[in-house]
Amino acid sequence: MKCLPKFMGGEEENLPLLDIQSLVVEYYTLKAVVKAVDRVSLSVEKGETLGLVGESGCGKSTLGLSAIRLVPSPGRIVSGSVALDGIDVVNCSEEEIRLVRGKRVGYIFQDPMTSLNPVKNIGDHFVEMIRTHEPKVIREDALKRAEDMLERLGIVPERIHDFPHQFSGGMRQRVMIGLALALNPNLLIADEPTTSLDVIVEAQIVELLKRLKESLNLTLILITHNIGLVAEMADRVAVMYAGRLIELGDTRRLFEKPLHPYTQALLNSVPNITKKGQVLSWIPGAPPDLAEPPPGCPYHPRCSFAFDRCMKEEPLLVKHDDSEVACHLYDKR
Amino acid sequence: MALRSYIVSRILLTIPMILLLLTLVFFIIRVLPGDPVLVHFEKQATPALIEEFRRQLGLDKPLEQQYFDYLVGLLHGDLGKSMADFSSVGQQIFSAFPATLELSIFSIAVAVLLGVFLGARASRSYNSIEDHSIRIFGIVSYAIPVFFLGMVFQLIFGIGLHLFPTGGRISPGMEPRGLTAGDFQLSTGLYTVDSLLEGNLQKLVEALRYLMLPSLTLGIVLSGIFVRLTRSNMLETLRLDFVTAARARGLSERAVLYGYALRNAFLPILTMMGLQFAALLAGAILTETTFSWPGLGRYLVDRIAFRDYTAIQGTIVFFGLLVALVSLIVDILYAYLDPRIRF
Amino acid sequence: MMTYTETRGRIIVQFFPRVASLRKRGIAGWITIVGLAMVSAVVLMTAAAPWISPHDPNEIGTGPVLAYPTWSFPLGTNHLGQDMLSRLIWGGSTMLQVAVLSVLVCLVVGVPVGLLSSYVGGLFDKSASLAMDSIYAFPGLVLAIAIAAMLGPGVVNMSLSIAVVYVPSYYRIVRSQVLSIKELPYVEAAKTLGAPARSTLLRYILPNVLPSVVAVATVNFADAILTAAGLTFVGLGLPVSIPDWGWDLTYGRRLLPSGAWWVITFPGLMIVILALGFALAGEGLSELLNPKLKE
Repeated sequence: MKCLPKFMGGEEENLPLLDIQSLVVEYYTLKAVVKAVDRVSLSVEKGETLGLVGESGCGKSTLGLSAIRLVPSPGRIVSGSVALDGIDVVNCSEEEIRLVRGKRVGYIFQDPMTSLNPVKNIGDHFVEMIRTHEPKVIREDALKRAEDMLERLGIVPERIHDFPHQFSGGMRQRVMIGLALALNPNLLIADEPTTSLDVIVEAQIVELLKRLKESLNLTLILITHNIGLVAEMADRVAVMYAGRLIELGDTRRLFEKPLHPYTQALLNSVPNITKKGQVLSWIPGAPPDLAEPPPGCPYHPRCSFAFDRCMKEEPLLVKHDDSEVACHLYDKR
Repeated sequence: MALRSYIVSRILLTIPMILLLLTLVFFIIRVLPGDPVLVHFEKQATPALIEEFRRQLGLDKPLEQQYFDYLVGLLHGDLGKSMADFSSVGQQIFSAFPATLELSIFSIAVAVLLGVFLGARASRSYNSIEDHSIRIFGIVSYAIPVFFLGMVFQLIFGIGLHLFPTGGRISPGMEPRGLTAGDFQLSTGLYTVDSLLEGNLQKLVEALRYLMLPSLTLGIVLSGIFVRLTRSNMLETLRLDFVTAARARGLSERAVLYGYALRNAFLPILTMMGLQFAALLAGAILTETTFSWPGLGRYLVDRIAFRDYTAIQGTIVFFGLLVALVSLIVDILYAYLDPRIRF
Repeated sequence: MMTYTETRGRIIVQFFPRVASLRKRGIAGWITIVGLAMVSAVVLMTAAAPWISPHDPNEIGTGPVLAYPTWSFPLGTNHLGQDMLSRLIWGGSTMLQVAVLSVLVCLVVGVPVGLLSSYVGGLFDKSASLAMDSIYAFPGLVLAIAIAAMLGPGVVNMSLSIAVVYVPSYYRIVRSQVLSIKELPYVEAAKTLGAPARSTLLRYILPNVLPSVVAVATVNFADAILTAAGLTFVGLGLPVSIPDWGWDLTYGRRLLPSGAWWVITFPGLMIVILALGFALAGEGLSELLNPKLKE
């Protein structure tokens, strides 16, 4: 893999936009080494929407940040590869990855309240970003582009001179989306884009994302613990648990017939208004301590289907029908 | 504009504080045990002389009258009369103040530059030996009495190495006269500025030579808190979401460090500068005494030695007003720089 | 939320810290230990002065005037021929006394006023805060000078002057703690159960406030020592007949031009060690009690 692509559009049309192979990311704390991402392999095709779900702490955010090599210290990418549009993210230089960020990949963070620089106004955020990647653009033009973007996001363009704290949470998230898309990237990674927003605003943001995806032909990675969101937007779903990828498949199929016991429990725990007499269910136990994970399958302490093999041997990702799942129930070897 | 109303409300808030302070100082001098006049004379004068003395200073009037006169006098800029020679305390303060101002400016410059530089370095090499040594420096510089450090510098650089003078503000005859054009004269009282106005580089060098040790001493002692503040602020800011978000947009490390991290971490540093002004004045008193620097601090210490209580009172009132003014300015500046407070 | 017995237990653990438990708490614990060790060393030295001091610190002409440090006078002598080593050993007692006394006064005044003011609120709180803020904003040494100049020399007077300057620090920290705890559900629960204000204050709020007070008090010792030294330097210290590091520094200044560096170096270092010890202990304690994000 070369660091810089030969052609702007990538070498072949059917290469996945993002290809992650056996990625391992560890956090080195004073007390222990925590494996946040454990040998995850995943690829995202152009134009699709991949949903990445899991509980808090399962490693999905770290995985997202790894795609643009922004894992915060004391975390480090230990091994594996990340190929983004032909670029070797793990091994290329700081300067090369910096040029990729924002231009080829847009990133939306969870908390819009803290993601914007309080001392810069919205216009300056855009101008700074545009001029970082396209230094020849003059300020007036950059501002014009920003105003156009704001309009597309449903924000009054005159507000370009306002400061972040003058906007509500929903508006700030729109600004974040605008910043992420300002340079027409191919890929948009959204980490919990609606988690900190109330339900009505959430619906608006979802609409906005759908619209933008259509009009800009985006590839979208949606990281969330909100299963409903995934059901609505994603083409495929990847489920993570304790830093591992445990199920991967088409959205429809996953919801109709979840394979992994964890996925089943996850879907069961979401209350369904239409079903009468439903008893609220939950998954007993707690996610494992990633510094000292249990032997064998990380889910076995909470799994109602666990048997002998689960406690000794780690399940590998195997194909089952058209999905992939890491569970001994389906691994008949 | 919201800024204007903030300024007004802030000023209004300062007034009761100043009033309280003035009253406090007044009562300390008058009401505490020990008649100031008697102590001043230390039992050496006849009752008649003492009465006359009192009358001259207005100390024979009833307490409420004195308080009223005191406040009224302050509004006119009258800070009382010295017990030594009945001269105006205000005049003496006015002539001694520029020296203290010059020392303060250079000292705080040293403190902030040294402190911010070290603090930023420590934050970037977190948990390294450099980081720990800088932190230790921060604490040690706080624990050293400023006059001890001054004396050590005098010993090493003045007496030992003969690099810098150990006392005074400038060699006699070298005082800069500022800008003179015929009858017109403009001088600030700050020797560095005045020598530039005069166009005399030699005087400038001399003034700086004398400034070096005292401002270094006071600056180092004050820097400790800036080291700690900068370090912890930078550490915090560098982990904030908007810094990561900025990096995710592909901004360069330099842009992130200066435009995002430092700009946000700077505001508390500015506030701290204002807060440290009080400590600066206190330190200046000791530094000026150590280096025989002819400023307000040394004036106060001299007046204490002479038990000149009215002068002491006047000087302390002046200090209080100065601190109140500076904190007002800093607050307004802060509001101007942080849009969150304004709107 | 803690029960009463748990709170009491917590106080006991914190007021009688076992060194072993401090050691387990990482770097902050170590810093505290080092600081406390420095302080203890000085205190022990001062307490043992009558036994370990080689000469009478006040006796004039014990040795030659301004003698360079030698075996017979390891720290040299000053302009009166007094042995500097003996003066060093004896010299801390005034400073320690002043520090302890002023901290005690601060505790006795600052903490209760802070508790009352923040709990009661209203006009009392507003005026107390205004008064305290005014004092707090004022340069400490200047205020101490003003009061000490009026009161005159003496350990008690010095301590009072210093105490007035630092009472607002205690007031503020107590008040801010109380304000944040006051609204917590378990305090409200106690009120609804009919607990009288006094007992709520003493049993629920005070135990939670004490750790911060301890941290403030420790750093306050350092400030008191430095301010006491400053007061002495300015001429408002104790009579000359009592050996005191501050005084040695003050007078030693005039001897500097003759190159007699030992007259100021050792007393100065002792002040630094004492103040540093308290400062380190305070720093460590406040980090232990209010752990900040380290990662």
